[in-house]
Amino acid sequence: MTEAIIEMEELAKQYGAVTAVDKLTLSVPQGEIFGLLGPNGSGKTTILSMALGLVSPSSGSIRLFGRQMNGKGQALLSRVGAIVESPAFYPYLTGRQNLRYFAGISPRAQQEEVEPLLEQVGLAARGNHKFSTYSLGMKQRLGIAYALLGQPELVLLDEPTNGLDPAGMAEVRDLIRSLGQGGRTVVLSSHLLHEVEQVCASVAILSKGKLIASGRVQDLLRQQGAVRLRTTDDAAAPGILSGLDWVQGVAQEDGYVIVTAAPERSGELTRALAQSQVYVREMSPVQVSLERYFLEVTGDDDQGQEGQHGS
Amino acid sequence: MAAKTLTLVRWEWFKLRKRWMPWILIIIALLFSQLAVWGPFIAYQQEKNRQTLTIFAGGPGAGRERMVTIDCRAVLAGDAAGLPAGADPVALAAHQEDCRQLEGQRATALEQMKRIFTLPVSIAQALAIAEGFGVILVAIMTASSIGSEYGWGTLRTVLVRGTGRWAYLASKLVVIATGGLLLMVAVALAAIVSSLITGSLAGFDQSISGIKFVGDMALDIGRAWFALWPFIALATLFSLAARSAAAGMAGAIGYYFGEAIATGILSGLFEWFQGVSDYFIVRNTSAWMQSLRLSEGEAGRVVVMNLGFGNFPSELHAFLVLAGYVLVMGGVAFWLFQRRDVTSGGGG
Repeated sequence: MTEAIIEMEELAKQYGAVTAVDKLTLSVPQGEIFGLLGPNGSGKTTILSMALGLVSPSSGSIRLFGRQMNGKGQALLSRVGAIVESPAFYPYLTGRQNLRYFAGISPRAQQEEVEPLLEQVGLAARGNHKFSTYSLGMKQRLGIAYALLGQPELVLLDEPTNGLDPAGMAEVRDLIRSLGQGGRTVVLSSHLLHEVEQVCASVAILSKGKLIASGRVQDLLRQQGAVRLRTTDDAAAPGILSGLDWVQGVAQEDGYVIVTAAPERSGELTRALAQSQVYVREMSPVQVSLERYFLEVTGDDDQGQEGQHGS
Repeated sequence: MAAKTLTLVRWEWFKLRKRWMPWILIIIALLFSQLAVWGPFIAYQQEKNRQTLTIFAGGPGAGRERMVTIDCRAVLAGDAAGLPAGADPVALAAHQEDCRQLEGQRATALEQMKRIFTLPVSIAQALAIAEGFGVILVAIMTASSIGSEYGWGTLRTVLVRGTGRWAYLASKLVVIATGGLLLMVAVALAAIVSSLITGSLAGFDQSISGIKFVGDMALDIGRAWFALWPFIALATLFSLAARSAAAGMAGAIGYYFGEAIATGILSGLFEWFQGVSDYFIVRNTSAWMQSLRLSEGEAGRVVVMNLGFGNFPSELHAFLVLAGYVLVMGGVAFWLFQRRDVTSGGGG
């Protein structure tokens, strides 16, 4: 079993009457790219901020590398690289000076890392320009370079593709995938379903501060499998299938009957229909997207649409 | 912890020297402190070269008194041409006496001016002016250094590196306090250079050697530096409480002028308020700056605000009150910084 690098237990954060995070219990496995998925306001940034000691939990506990994250746990942060919210740097310093500064104050980082990191994120040529003159895409790339200072074992990236154009997003996604190689754990917080699906091996889905689902992306999608059918009597088929207790849903779409059920149970579907003198003419498994899964588990169309727009 | 703080101090200095604002503020403070030397020097030169004196003409039985300008050099030389047109030549002897008296007073005034723009009093004067400006300067610098981290969002970028909040705030305060000390040293050195120049132009020999002189100068620099501390603490507290540079500047500078104005008004209205004002920051910094060693006693005493009326509190009283403010405000600032969440309110 993979060791957990972040463990949260009954973690909660309350801002007055507002519950930002509601008794969250979650483990992030080591060596994976893990997605924290949820719409704006779902508590992703608060969770990352608590993991990084920026925000104190109202209750519950959080462990990094197996050790409690409290006042003394600050030392653990030298093993972590993170961007929380937008990448924030000193506007009057150049990109290179900013990285030099952060390399200087980081216990594990070396000044020698600055140039290769600027090269890696494609900012070497603009390294001597002031941060205040950078485009949003350049700021994000500098943020990633900053997060990689000190060769951290754990990288937390909060909405790293925010504000990027499609080419920039693809570039950053490639970069994130490459970060996940070699045993490093990457936690990617995003409201972009498409992004998380493309990059992450495991995911936790959040809504209004609560954990809705978590696990490996493929496992989650498999659980939420669907089958597309055409039958000799498409009007009667939905009624027959919805009577089966293991069928989670039946809908009609584009002339097909869509049955939400594990594709492995296709034989049982055809048998049930045949017993009612309805015969299958065409059948195929439906590749469920994370977006559809998200909508199913959160039951919130608006949120899903928000995610789709963002991507 | 100490090693970590020192590393942070080094890099805090790296950031600070890349900004324009500190350099501009230091240049302004240096220029203003130079007024302590060049102002009296220019006044001295004008007074010394003045040929005429303006006196009340006439006297008992001479009719209505009026102001006239007479050339005392000519009058003292017995030349009636030094009198204003139409003046009675018989009055020459009386005007000679007036001129003698005024020449004596003028010599005293010139001597006083000379003391102010020459060593060692010039250093005390420059430090007093620099302390007055320094208070505003350190308030701006402190508020900017701490509050801007919130405004730019860089505080969380720094803290997630595992730097530790206590060490980070301490490093900022060490850099600002060191900057204040370097400013005072620069002011003292600039005053020495300017005094040597002005003294030379005025034809005076000045000696700056001697262990006592160096020791007194170091103590005066330290005294002026310590007077900045309460305002560093005040600006820190305001900036952290409001998470804003503007609030830090407005709070500290507003307090500086507010206390002076309120003390002036309330002490005038209520006698008992004078006792209360003896526990205020500005009044105690003024009292603290009264005893600069290089001011050489009453003659060179630095002119400071005394809007609370009455006598200033003692030196020890001033030190204890100021140290108390520094400890309390600094302690509250560290406590706040240590325990509060660092958020910007956005994101999910």
